[in-house]
Order: sequence, then structure tokens, then C-alpha cells
Amino acid sequence: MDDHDFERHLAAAKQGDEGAFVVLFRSVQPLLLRYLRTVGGPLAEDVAADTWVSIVRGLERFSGNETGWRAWVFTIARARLRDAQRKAARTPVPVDVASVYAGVADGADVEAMVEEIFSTEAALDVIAQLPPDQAEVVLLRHVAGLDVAHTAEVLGKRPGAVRVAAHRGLKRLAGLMSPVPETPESQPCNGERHSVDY
Amino acid sequence: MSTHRSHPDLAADQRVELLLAAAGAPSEAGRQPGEADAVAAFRQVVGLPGRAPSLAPRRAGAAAALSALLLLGGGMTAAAVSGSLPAPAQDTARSWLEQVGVEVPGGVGGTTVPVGASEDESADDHETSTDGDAAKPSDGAAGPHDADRPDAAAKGHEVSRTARDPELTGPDKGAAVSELASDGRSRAAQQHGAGHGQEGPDVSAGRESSVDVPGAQQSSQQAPAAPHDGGNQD
Repeated sequence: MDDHDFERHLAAAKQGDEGAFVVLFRSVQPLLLRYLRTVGGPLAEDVAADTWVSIVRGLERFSGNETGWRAWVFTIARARLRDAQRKAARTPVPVDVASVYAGVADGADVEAMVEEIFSTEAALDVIAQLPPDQAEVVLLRHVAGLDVAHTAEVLGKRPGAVRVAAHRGLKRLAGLMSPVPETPESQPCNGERHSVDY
Repeated sequence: MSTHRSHPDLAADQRVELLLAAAGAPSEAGRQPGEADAVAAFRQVVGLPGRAPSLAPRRAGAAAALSALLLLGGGMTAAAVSGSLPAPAQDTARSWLEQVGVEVPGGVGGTTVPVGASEDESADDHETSTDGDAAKPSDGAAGPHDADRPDAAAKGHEVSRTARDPELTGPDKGAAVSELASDGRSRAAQQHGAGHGQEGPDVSAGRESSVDVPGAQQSSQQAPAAPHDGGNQD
């Protein structure tokens, strides 16, 4: 969708055109879910739903191009995710810690992981093993397709900090996929391991 | 596409590129997870079906309500200024409107009848601060409803004559008109009497054109006698 098409659909959606809204929704929802599933784990679907409620309420006030649209959507999603995480933290759910960290540093698992590298789900699971700030930057830059400026805007950081986090994240990803894996220095970003079938 | 295992020499950067490409790969076209909920939220916000944009009607409704309120307030004010309200309502309106600097006939002060008006029967000669419109309340005492009642019409004429009575001036005339118009229920006449001694009906003494409200309250004893004076004019 080029900028002209985007502007046309945005204007129509603001006028109540449901079809135009669906086009906008489908342009970003898959990326949004990948981001939320990676950094939010089981909260992803609920957070996505809350995000869209906020989006439709504020749609009339939004103006910008498609990149700005995605940045706006992800900014809202991130805020809703923080809300959900705070709420979840107040009502903790028992977690099997042993299963959460099992296999993270296992060399055989890394080999299997690379075997699955062409699966989107598996790729996201590898990214999920990055520290949270690096995982978010990598997702926003390489999954959501935002540039450094918009990524910084979404995260509320300086562009320089985004570049540093992206560099470190990619370097760590390379280490995770190397035949002799590095020992992870931090926990998975969302505190639990996703369902990767190694 | 090959895997890392089949290409052991694949550089680390290439592996990362493949991973990122997989993570950002296009999704299947068509309906997406969560679409039904998002569309439902969209319909709810924009008012579909039926298309009732939420904000515009609310603004229009608020504007209409405000206009109606202003119209009603303006009408009430106009009625009060013209002296068309029943005496109790007129007194209430007067007490309210005086606070915002609007001079209203009737009530305690009774300042609506211009002093100058009493000096000459001719309306052209009215030159007081309250101008010639002040004579209208008494003229308009017989409104559309009152005109249907002979008593009310006669009373209106009497009030009008009292208002034009050259023997009455200033607050005395106001109190007299108020007394007559309210059939003795006006507080103006009562306070007029309370604030004044038994000075008798020598209303000519009040010709010094004092139209300010405090002065009117303090020299209002003649109010009970005023209707009689007005009646004597005939």
C-alpha cells in the first residue's frame, strides 16, 4: 500500500467506511501480533484487542502517512501492554520456572533452532530470548518496519539509544544462532519461554 | 531455501538476516486474528450501522439547548423589564436582574417610573436616566391574557394613569405603581411605609428627581397613599 492508497483508506475509515478500516487493520495486525506475542507472551491477544479499541476511538484525530500510522499503532499497543503487564503483576500466575529456562543454553537446541529458522514463529522465539529493550528494538525495526526515528518515538528513547540497542540485539542474535552458543546473560524478555518445538 | 546446517559456512550476519526475514515475513492475506473484535469496536465508535457520528450531534444538541436557554432567559428578562410578570415574579426577577445591572420595574425600589415623566404628560419630554421606556411597564400591564379580563384591563389603565400622574415623582411614584399593580402585595409599598413617617400625601415634596434605589427605599412612605392620589387625578 503506497502513501496515496493509505491516505485514501484512512480518510474513508474516518468517514465510517468499514472496508477501509479493515484494509488498515490488515496492514498492521499481523506485525502487531508478532510484536505483542514476542514481548507480551500470553497477553498478546487481549492487548491487541484493547489496542484496537483505543485506535478506533482516536482514529479521527490521527493524521500521517503509513509509517506514522504503524508507529502510532505500536505506541498504543506498547502502552496497553504495559497496562496489562502491571495488571498481571498484581495477580501473579504460578510459573514452572524449571520449564521456563530449560534448554535455553543447550547447544543441541540451538542447532534445532537454526533448523527451524525459516519459521516465523521460531524466529520470533529466538528474538524473544533477547533482553527486553533489545527485543523491542529489533521487532520494531525489522518486523514492524519502522525507521530509527519512529522506533525511538514508540519507545520514548533517543535515536542513538535505539541504534545501540539494535546493534547489541543483532550481535546477540548472531551469538544465539552460532554453533557454539553464547550463554544467555539475561532472562527471556517476557519472562517465560515460548512454545518452540526444538 | 537452505538452512544453517546445510550451509555450515553461513556467516553470522547472514544467519541473522535470515532470521529477521523470517520474523518479518508477510503474513497470509485475508482475515486476520482479532479482526471481528476490531471491526465491532469500529462499528460501535462510528455508530455503524446507521451512521451516527458521535461528536457532531452532541455538539449540535448542546448548541440547541444553550440557544433555548438563552432565548428563555432573554424572554424572561424582557418580560421583567417590561413589567409584564405577575407581581411576585416581577419582584423575584427584579432582585435577580438588579444584580447584573438591569433595571426592572416593581419591587422594593420602584424606580422605573421616571421622575421627568411626572413633570409633563407628554412622553416627548421624558429626560430621566431611565428614559421613556420606563413608562411602558404600566402601559403594558394589560397583556394579552389580561385583555380578556375587563378587571385587568381597567387595572392596567389605572396603573398607567398613576405612572403618568404629575403629582407623583421618583420612588413615591414607583411605590405607588407597584402597590397598585400588585393589589397591595408589593413589598415596595410596605417598605416605603416602614421607612417613612406619616408625612401625609404631599407627594409634591418628592419632586427632587431622586431615582437612585437607596433613596427610593428610604422615602417610600407615600406608597399606600399614592394609588389614591393617582385615583384623584381622574
